[in-house]
Amino acid sequence: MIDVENVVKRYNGFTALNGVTFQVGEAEWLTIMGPSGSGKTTLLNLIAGLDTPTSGKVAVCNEIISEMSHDERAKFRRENIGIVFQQFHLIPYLTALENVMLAQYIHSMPDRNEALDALRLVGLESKAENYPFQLSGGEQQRVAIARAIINDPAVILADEPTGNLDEENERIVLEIFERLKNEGKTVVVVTHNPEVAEFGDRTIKIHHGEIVSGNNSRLTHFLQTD
Amino acid sequence: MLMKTVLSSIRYRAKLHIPMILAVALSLSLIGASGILQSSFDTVVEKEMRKYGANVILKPENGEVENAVYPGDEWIAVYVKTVRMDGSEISLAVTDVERLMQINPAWVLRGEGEVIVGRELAERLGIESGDAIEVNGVKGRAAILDSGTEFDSFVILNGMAEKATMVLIRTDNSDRYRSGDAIILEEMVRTKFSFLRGIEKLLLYIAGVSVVSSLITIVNLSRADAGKRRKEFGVMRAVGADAKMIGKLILAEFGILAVISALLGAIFSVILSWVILAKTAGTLPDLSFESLATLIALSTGAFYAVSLMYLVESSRKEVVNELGGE
Repeated sequence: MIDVENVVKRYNGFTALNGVTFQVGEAEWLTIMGPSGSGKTTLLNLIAGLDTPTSGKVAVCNEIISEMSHDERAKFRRENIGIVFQQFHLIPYLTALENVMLAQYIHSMPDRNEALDALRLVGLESKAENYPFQLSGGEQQRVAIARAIINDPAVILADEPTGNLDEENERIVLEIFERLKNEGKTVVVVTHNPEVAEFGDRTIKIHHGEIVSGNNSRLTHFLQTD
Repeated sequence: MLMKTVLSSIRYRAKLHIPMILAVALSLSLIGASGILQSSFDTVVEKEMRKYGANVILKPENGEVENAVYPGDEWIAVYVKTVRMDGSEISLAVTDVERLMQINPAWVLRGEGEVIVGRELAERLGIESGDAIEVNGVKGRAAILDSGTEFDSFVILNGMAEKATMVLIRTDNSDRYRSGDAIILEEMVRTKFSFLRGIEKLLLYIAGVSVVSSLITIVNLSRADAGKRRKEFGVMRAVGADAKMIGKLILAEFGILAVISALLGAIFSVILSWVILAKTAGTLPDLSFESLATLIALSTGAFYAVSLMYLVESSRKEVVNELGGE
């Protein structure tokens, strides 16, 4: 589903990623961990097609997005990728429902009932007409998730999705991701929180732009809880 | 959804947009008022001319009413008032026209009319046989007299002597009058209202200064909002919007702002020109669709010039970089 091959990313002489290679399968949850400045967000941006590598190849859904133009990647994203940010990044002047419908509009055409279904899925149907400033951080993040999944993308990318949430909301958000993964979505979550990583199938750790380790934390999690 | 998003954005940014709209509307109102004064000038002149009931005025400078006799075997009383205009004499004569023609059988009268205009004068004023003409309130048709005498520069009326202080000639063919032959009423009225031209130019000058300050205001306010905008563009990009889609949103938003500013500018300009014209010329502004269209075009130009900044910003691939966590 996702194929990152020998990717290098340099900014003004600084090497953010240096020869990163890994794959993520269909319906797999990969967690990318690393300290601040390690390059994990850069890596997520490359997978999302928000940025292009200096060298190497990034393929998603069998399409090499690293070779696409700026607008081609935008079109690819609207069809195949849903992104969730740490800061939620909802449009402040649109209601929760309208934020979801905007993603529909960008994809094809808005459908109020489908957008309400997406909000119901994240438990926010009752707050559909609320503006972002009327929602808690956890609620805003759930709206952002509804927006990310409204066009039924194959891949969900999340950058520190629980970074600004309390424990209760963190659990709700992670359970939603888990449900999405179980429905067949590929989920990639960037975090520095080991507890978040425990929800994933596999974790890669990145440091100074290089992968330093990879394991099956999901299995470990089950072994520990059992 | 496009309009919903655009209108919500406009409402959300009301504190930025209201000063922008007012700044542009103020400039447009000055430009518009200047334009309205310009286009209303002809109406002011026409209205004033209607008060005179004439479109050519022969103003006597040194002429006076005199009793004259026609030299020859047969005598006839002719009351003549002679006016010197631009070195030429124009005389208004009142006499028994039928008798005058009888005792001068060689004189030729072209056309039938109550007002007889000498050939030379008719040529100078562009009056032709059959023209509707009104002389000192006497309405009728012009007949042209070719006498080969000084009467060829006369206006001759049938009747008794009149003590005219001003010769008013009204015809339907004012466009044929040549300047210099007589005081054209229109020129006189235009001179009278020339101060309106001064106000018009003054407004245009202030508008020029205002346009520059409005553009600076818009650019500064837009720059203050640039950070939020950049983030919004980044979010839309991340959700999958291409440059064309975001461009459509920007153009729609600035288009609406432009139309609002233009309409406000049009209203302000009507009020301003109405006050000026009512106080000075006692008339109403002459409005036209053309002037409204001009204001909309100017407003759109101003806003779209600034929107270019956002269009360039939204197409930069770096707009998504600020969304990340590190």
